[in-house]
Amino acid sequence: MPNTEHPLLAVKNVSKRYGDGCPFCKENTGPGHNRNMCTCCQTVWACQNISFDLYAGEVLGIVGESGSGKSTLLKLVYFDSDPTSGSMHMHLNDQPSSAAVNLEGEDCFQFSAFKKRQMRNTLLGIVYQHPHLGLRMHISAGGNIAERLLMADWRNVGKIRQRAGGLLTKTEVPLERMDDAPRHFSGGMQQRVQIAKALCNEPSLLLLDEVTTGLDVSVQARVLDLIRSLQAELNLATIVVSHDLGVIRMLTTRTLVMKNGCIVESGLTDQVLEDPQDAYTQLLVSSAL
Amino acid sequence: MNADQWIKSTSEHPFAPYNFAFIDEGAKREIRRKILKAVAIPGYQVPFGSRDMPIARGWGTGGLQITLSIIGPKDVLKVIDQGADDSVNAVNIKRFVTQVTGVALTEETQAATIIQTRHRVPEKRLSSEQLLVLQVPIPEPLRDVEPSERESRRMHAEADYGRMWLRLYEDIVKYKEITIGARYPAQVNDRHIMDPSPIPRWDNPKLHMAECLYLFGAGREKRIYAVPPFTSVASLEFEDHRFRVESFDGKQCRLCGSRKSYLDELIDDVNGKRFYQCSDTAFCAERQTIES
Amino acid sequence: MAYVAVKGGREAIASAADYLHYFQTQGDSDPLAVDQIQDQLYLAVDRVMGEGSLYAPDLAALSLKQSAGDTLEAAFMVRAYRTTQPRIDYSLPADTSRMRVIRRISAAFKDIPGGQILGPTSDYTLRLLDFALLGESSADRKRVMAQIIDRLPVSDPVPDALPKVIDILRRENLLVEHISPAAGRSQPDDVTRQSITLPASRSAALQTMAMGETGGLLALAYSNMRGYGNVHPTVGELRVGYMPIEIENRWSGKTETIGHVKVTEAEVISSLESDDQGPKFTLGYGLCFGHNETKAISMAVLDRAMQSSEPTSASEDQEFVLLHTDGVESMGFCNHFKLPHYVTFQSALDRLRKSQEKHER
Repeated sequence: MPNTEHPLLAVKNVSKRYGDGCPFCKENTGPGHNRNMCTCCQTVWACQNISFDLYAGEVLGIVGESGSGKSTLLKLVYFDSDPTSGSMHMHLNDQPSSAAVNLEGEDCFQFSAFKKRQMRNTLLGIVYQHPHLGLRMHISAGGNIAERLLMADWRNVGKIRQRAGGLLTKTEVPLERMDDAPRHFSGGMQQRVQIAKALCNEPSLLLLDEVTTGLDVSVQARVLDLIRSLQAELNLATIVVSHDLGVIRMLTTRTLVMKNGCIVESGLTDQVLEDPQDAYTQLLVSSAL
Repeated sequence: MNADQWIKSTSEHPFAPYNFAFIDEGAKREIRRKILKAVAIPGYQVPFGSRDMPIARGWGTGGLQITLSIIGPKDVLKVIDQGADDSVNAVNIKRFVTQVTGVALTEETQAATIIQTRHRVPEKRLSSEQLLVLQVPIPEPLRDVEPSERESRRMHAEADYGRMWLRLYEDIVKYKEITIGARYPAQVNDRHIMDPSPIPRWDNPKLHMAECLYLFGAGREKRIYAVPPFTSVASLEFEDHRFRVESFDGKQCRLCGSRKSYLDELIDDVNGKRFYQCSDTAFCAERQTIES
Repeated sequence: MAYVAVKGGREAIASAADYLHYFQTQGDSDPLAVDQIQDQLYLAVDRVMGEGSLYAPDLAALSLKQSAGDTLEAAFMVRAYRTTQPRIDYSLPADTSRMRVIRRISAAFKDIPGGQILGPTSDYTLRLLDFALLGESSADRKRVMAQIIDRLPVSDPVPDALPKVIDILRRENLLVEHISPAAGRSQPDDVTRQSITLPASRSAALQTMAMGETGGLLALAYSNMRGYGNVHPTVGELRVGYMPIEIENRWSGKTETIGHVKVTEAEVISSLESDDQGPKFTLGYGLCFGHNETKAISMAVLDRAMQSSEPTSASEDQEFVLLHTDGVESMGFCNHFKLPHYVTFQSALDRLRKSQEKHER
């Protein structure tokens, strides 16, 4: 249920460009011009002036094709990359991890590297499309989870293993594999370990970046089911990035549609998918099988 | 010998063209300033312009540069290697330092004002009037988990030590024990994780809340760091897997009978049997004198 | 005069050779005698024998004279000479515990059976230039030698055979040794007769490194020790001495000693590995001609590094180490870029110009 107080996450006017930019960039890039790259200075505008809010417990979908900027946006939220301009605020209200990091209503992008890392570890959780981005392949599955707990100052091996084991069980990874390195696991199981890792410090916000893309259909279904039940149980605010409308429909309550770095449409998922207003959204919906 | 006597004695000396303590005064000043910075930020590795010395890199040039930068004519120097005063490397260093300074040498721990050491801390507690200069091969405790210097410096700057703790966790999972022998990492002043140099774990506790100043010199890697007196030095451990020193249960020094010092293991030439001796030869010699 | 491979090439090469000889012959100094090089630059001779892969101190000394001290060139000449010699036989496997040692130390234990024998080493000397050597005469040398002999302490002779320190660890079952099932049944490879195939056998790897260039091996080993790798070495034993070379006489069937070679051997104990009996130490081995400790230790570190089941750095990658450390090959290829390449360069210029044209449009 959305919380009607301050949004948990408020992203305002966020842009990300690669290149120096020029006075002509705005007039020849974006969804109207069908391109991200300025013909004049070759600057690539991955995201332009993105603003959105997310409330506690909400699941927000971001849908678009390759080059839309959806993954870039997620990376900015997770501090994997720095924006060219814009701000991000988080309001924790009564979140369990609110004591861990003092946010003071400030722009998170201006925080020190130390504070950003603290936020990443205790307030955020991310699952990447490619497991090698989110997991250390030569460290055991349990160790991958343990690293986040250790960064949150857990100092008891027994308790760490108990928590890691509990999370792996919750994400349906057999306990006997806890001390094995994920490089030997199947794709689906690697994603489960990522999910367990993302949840271990009870984050306030979960970020999912094309997490089932590339998996077999039956495996996809299982992972999506798992995500849906975890989200319901933990009432986690979640951002789901995907190009697959089926995934968006299944998991999200609100959706943003992105094209060439801009938001072209936003609204309740049902409305956007049943009655799209923007021509591009209509094209996407009608092309979906 | 005092400074005047030294100057007179060295005028015909082969080392006469060299400055007191071999390195030039500018170099000494830089090194002293870096030492002060190191003392101001306990456990932080301060980069310094390490000079080339007549002994090889990896053989104590860092410790040597610290000693030469702080030593004065009235100092009394002790040099040990693996705890022994008569080890070849210690003898070589002592010979060089006296040749370029004329300072007095000693093997008695309490008589020394500066002790330069490789891989041991003396068994006897040092006083606030003493300095221990440690020779460091690898100053970076994170090197095992991160080969890149650029990245490890960032990790220290941001107190991003998760991967170090992860390494300990993985050790316990694989071997049921933390398998680090010497060079056991410790957190200094609740902030920087430090490599105490290849001293055995036995010696780590001596760094915590000591009265003396500990200086660490890595010549090849060009870093200086320090543990000031009365600073907390906590060897990394878990609540349920505590830091443990080496065990010498049931063993004692065959020369002085000590059961409370770090022992070297030796194998008899003739019958192949094993026996043990204090690594700290001065400590052992003193005990033997007391016994007799 | 243009640097053209076609016209005037022969004259140019002749002039270049003269010019080189000019540099080698200029000045008023006495000609360098090959025996002076053999006696007084013996470590350079040892290095060249190792990298030239031929145990012939007099030839190595000659090559150093001819190359004006360029050890890569000298090793190159020795290798070329080697090609002219037929392979008569292989020696019998040599047991290095029978080495007549002149130096033998261990860093792993304070004292070892047979004792720590420091031998001739510069380890504990101060690297200060000795200006007294500027005026050294034959008489000075004889005097110094007489003093040394005079000062010789009376001591027991060094035994002909000394036990290996790592045997102590072997006996306590603390050492993992990768002995392949084929060992003992198969013959070692000969990399001078067959090109190396990857993955290389241990014999092929060790031979390749034994004739490898000291600096190249050192750089890779150093990278591993510094952090780009997992070998935390302790020198279990380092030996320098004279090994008897034995062959089986084909007519009489008897074992004959045909001579002695000076070698340096390093056995390096490294970090833990687990087998089913728990954690153990692993071993790296290095051996080379002459007195060259840096090379032997580097070889041993790389030997161990290349045994990693999953290479994470260049020093652990067999292919990287074995294909890039031969001094003669690497020096040759590096310098070959000085040969005219203008045909290929013309082709590249053409491509570049075409792309620029397209860009401008």
